[in-house]
Amino acid sequence: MLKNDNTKKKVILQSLLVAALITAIIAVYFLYSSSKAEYDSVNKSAIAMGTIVTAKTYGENTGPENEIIINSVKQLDELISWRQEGSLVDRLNKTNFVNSSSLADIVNVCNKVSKDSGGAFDLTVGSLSNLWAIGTENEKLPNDDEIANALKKVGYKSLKVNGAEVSCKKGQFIDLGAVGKGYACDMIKTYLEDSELKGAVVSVGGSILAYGKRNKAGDKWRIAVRDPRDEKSYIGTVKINEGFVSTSGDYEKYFEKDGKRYHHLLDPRTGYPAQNGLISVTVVCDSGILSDALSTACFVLGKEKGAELAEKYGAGAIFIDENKNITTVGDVDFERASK
Amino acid sequence: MKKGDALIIVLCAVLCLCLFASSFFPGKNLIAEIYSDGVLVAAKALSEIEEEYTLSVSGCELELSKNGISFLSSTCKDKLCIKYGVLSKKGETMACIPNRVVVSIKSGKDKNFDAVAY
Amino acid sequence: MKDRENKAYRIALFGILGALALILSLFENIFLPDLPFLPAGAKPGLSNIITMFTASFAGLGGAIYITLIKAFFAFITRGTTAALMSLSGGILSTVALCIMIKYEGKNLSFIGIGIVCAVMHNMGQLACACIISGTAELINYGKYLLVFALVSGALTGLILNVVMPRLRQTVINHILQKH
Repeated sequence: MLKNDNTKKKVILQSLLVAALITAIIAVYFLYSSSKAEYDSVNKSAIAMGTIVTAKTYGENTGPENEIIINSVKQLDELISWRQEGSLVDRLNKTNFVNSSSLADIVNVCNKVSKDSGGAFDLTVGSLSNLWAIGTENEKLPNDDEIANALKKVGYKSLKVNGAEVSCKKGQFIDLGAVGKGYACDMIKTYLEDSELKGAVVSVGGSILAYGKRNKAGDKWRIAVRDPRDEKSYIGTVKINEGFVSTSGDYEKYFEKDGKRYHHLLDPRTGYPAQNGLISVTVVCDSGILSDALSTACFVLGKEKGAELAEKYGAGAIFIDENKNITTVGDVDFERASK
Repeated sequence: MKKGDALIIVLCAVLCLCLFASSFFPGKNLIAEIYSDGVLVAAKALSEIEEEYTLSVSGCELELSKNGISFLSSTCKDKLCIKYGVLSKKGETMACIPNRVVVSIKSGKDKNFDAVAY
Repeated sequence: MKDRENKAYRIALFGILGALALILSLFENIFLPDLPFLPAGAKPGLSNIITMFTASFAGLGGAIYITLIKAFFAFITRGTTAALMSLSGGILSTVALCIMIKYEGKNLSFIGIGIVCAVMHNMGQLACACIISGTAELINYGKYLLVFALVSGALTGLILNVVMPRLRQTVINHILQKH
């Protein structure tokens, strides 16, 4: 078969076109892959604030930042834990007065949630919590009188803030346990913004802070939500760009008596663990202390009123009921896990 | 070679390159995942292994060391699994199909979530 | 007379084709070594030459016949797992073969067809392996199998390209002869 010059040129041109096409496809694919490749990261865990703190930092040569993050949680704990002698909350509980702008800020935010939730969330619920003592060796099912007595000391309206001065009624017991982890996350976020990190995801006892990006493509952070009835698996994943995620569930601390579960999310209005069919509420928002407070408030309020509260704060929420039905409220990118 | 042949070859070549693209990004924190009957029964971070040890999974004996994982012995008939030798790179896979044991090496980052809220 | 001759010829021919397919399979399994990054047991599939050839004059029926013979042989010699693997790869490959072979001629030679058959065969076996072992992890092999199929398919196709003209003159001509 004779091939003249023209045909030869055609073949060469065609081959070049094909080669160019293949190269273009490969180049595009490489760019895509490299934008999806995660930045280098360092992951560290430690015990702080009575729970597990995990910090994963993304960027070049990270590592020192993780230590700093974990230490800051330890320091915060010394400041706001009612268990720490001399802490701000300890002094408030013992002398009913303390001067601290940080504590004042925290109380202001919490009291607003208390007001908006009609008292379903209340920092002064401490007297009630101490009575039930769930999660300690003294846990018990109190009788009606004991509950009535404790309820007399519960009431956020008596927890007053005047500038930096925080005061409460005699006998009241303030416990920041419900919001301490979220507040720690807020603090950590300020630190992260000042750092050189490209991204970070921090978990303070299950309260999550997601900051920055984990790869060039800026893919969302994937926060798994624990299955309320199976601690080894997760029920779904929430995807967020940046923000805070908190969960309140009836599985964290509880005891069972006569076939009934008494969990630690007490309703400050009734004195008993909230019983409204929910077993877990996850809140996503742009403030750590709010995501903590709202998750507790929404759990106590139940699905309908809880959804209203979340909407009011512009937060996203995920309600899981005892049949594992899931309802989402607000702008939440949540995907249920397939089993 | 005809036009159709060339087209098929080109398509396959491009597909190959795409599939291999991910291997060019070396994996860190390699984890050996062991599946039995489709269920993940063990996931071991290779770099955390100090001394080599053996694991028994449905009729297969696997040896794990910080250099990789391999089949030591198996109750299957063809013993193809043992012929694989040591697995040590991200994305590598081997299996003992009659015993339904599959081993694959993943990069530590291949979990599909970044944190757990609880 | 010609009718009975033709029938005898057909039986003999299919018998030989079946045997050839088995011999080639056997040869591969015994003499060709396992490549390191491929699943143990992956072979070039030389017997595919026979399948492609059979399909060219006997269509789907002929190709299925060869596939079944190979699977049965695998069952007898290597066990149920091997038989299932052979069958799943074989059926998928055969279906693709019968679709593609219609286009054989000006624009497509057995090289392209061979590649498609090899790729389909591997995919079928991979799917089967995943089902048996219960996990999708094995899909990791896909990329290595693809390269291997590309090369081995092209090779078997090339071989058939070379011998086909001669075979057309003799065997196929004879068998398609109308009395």
